[in-house]
Amino acid sequence: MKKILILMAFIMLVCICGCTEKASDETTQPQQFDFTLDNYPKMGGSLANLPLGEAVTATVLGIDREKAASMITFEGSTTDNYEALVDGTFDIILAYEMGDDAKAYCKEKGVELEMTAIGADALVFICSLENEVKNLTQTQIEEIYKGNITNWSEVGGTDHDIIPYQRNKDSGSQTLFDKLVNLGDELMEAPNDIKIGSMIGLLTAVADYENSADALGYTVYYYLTNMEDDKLDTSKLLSVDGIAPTNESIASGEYPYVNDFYVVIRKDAAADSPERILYNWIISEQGKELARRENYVVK
Amino acid sequence: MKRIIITAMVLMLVLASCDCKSEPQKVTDAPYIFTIGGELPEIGEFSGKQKQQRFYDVYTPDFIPSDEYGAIIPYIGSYKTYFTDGENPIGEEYAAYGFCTLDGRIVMDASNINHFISYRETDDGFGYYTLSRSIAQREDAPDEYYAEETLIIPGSGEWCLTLGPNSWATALGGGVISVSVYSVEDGSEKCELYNYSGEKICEIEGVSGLGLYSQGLIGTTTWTESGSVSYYIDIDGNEVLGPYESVGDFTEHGVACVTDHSGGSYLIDTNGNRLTDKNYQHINLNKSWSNNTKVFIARYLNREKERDVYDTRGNYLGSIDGADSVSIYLPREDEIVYCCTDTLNNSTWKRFSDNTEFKSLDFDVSPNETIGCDNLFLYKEKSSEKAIFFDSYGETVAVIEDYGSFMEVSQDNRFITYNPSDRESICIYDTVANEVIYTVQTGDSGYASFFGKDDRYVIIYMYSIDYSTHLATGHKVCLYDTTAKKMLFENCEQIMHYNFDGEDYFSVCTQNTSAVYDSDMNIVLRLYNEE
Repeated sequence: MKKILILMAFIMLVCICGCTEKASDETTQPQQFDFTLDNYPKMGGSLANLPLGEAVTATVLGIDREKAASMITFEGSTTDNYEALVDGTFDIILAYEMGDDAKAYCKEKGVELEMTAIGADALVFICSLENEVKNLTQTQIEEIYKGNITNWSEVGGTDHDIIPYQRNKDSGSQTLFDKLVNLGDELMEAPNDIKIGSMIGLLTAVADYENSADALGYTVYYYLTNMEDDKLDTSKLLSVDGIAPTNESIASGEYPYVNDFYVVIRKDAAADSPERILYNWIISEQGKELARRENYVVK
Repeated sequence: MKRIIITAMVLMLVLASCDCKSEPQKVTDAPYIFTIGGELPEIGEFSGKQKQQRFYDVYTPDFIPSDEYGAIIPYIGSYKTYFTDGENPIGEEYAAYGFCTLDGRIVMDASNINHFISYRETDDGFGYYTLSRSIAQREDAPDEYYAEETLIIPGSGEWCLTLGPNSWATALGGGVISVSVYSVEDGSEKCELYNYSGEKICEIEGVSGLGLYSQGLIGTTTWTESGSVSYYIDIDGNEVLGPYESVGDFTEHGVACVTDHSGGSYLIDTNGNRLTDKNYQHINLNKSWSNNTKVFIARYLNREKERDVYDTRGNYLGSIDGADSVSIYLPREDEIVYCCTDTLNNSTWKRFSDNTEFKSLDFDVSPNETIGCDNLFLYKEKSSEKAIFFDSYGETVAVIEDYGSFMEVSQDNRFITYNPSDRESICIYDTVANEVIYTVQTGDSGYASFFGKDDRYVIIYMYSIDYSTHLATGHKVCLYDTTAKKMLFENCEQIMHYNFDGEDYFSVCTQNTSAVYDSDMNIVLRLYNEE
């Protein structure tokens, strides 16, 4: 009888432990979250990240890109986007690194943010295909835009005046130029006819300027290679310090004028909040794969 | 032993079948992830690729006339407006306009030398753009030399008339463009006439201004030390009628009002024959804001109370025996209403056709408030600050409790835009539904205007103001659709409406995008500018 009782107790113990173990496995298995049009986080960001934002939204919701584009808002400056995230207008943003104004705003509102670098973009310099010059050093770029180097022959080209196009103040290209080239007050004052009012205008002007071999301009890598790649039929990208701007040299940081962009949420976003789930997906391998497909330089 | 084994097996079976999951799991306890099974789906290319084509392969900051465009529409490449306090710059004014065809091909790139483009249509149906742009300042130019030129471009883009600094178009109509030219160098003046193909017809030296070409005649004015001298000239610049002290444009029926040097104003025909027996103090050609009605209102000499009313053929219609102040409105064709205000500011509204009174307002109770409309009028109740809008039949159109100031009214009095009493927002009021359908917070200041077919759309301008300088320091623009009852665009830098060939087009500029939409809100053109 005693043996029967011991045997029954042992069997019961084995079965109960099995059930308990199964129950424990179920509480630690993460559940698949379904994004819907209603629970999708409010997404915003920098214009350069619009294609990525659209792709993420379309992929996650299983909708077409036009519909996805209508659900997201990629307008305004980087500072505007960070402020909108802090204020709750957005739940998640894809944006460049925040500047001092945005940091001050976060501090003032007592909001902490969580961010992960997901890609990089670069400030690139372009000139006509007819121009013999293939490379500029950072020092040469600075001296050109200070007005101290004025002729292509001073940088290895032919004897022609350099026409250094600039963008209008507050444009993204100019902001990036100011941040990465950092001439401050030493940036030469550009006459109106070489200050171009839009990115597309600058690209076209450099490509088609009547003295095309003389023109020098700058823009953002992603725009040139993804939105206006036809301009590369008549213009070329210059190397800087011997480093050509490519996806690889930008990703590695070898190209000198590089600017990371991030996915950002509020730090207090709950573990089961849609924005945190989406944030985690964007920084996952699947998210990175999607960014590569959109031809972003992925970190 | 056999019983032990059987018992054990039964026990095992019973325990194995127990539902360990019978206790429901709390969903919020488990972390969530999102993952896509298998390969990422194909979603195609970025939908918002620059939707633009180019008419010319090269960068084109200057306008090139062509008869191949069909029609052109402006787009706003970039727009920022800052102001100065007169001494210290707060920022810089910057705007860039371009042109595209109706299918989105760029014919002129937006360049910051192209400041502004407006569109108008003449009474004879000629639609044209006026483009103002910067030109290089001459080194030897005097200080008053304006480094700006104006281009007149027809809606077809077939030609372009360039008016240099100190030149301006004074009138367009009857197939003729009148241009005044002032020489800064020697102070001389002249006028030029062009046709609707941009070709110069003639040039008249020594004339300060030209009127509208109508019935084969244009009024000219020359200022001398002793006053003004006016004539009517023909298309070749020959003086035909005059001299007078001042002249008005001829109506489509060949009647004009003139004032001669002997004193008094009267009506004449195109042969110079008088059509009115007496001289008047002055005669105005009143035009309706909302329809094509026009009448001459002739004020008696010595500013007596009577006014005579004539139609555009010079026919006497009757008299208005008013009080000290009379305001005249033309709400419909063949209808005139007028408001007489006495010395105590009491207002009486009458219908001209039968001289009947349809509204009387006591200033101490319900003061009349002029809002500059032909078929919508307003008085406020002093006791409650309530605003009551009524029409030219005396019927109440809207009653607004929290009223501050009036802005505009749409066609047929359907929608009214106004500031509520706090002046920090703009409301759109539906007079049929008798309710506010939309309110937008404007901040320091704002204005709303109706555009489009049947005045369907409202463009709302919002400004922030530095009250130490009383200058605007920032602005936003948005577009509201009163039919769909929704905001279409918000937080834009600028929105312009163009009605071309009966169709509405909107140029919308945000910080990042420049786009043109047609009346169905289809994208005609879209460019991306950077943040």
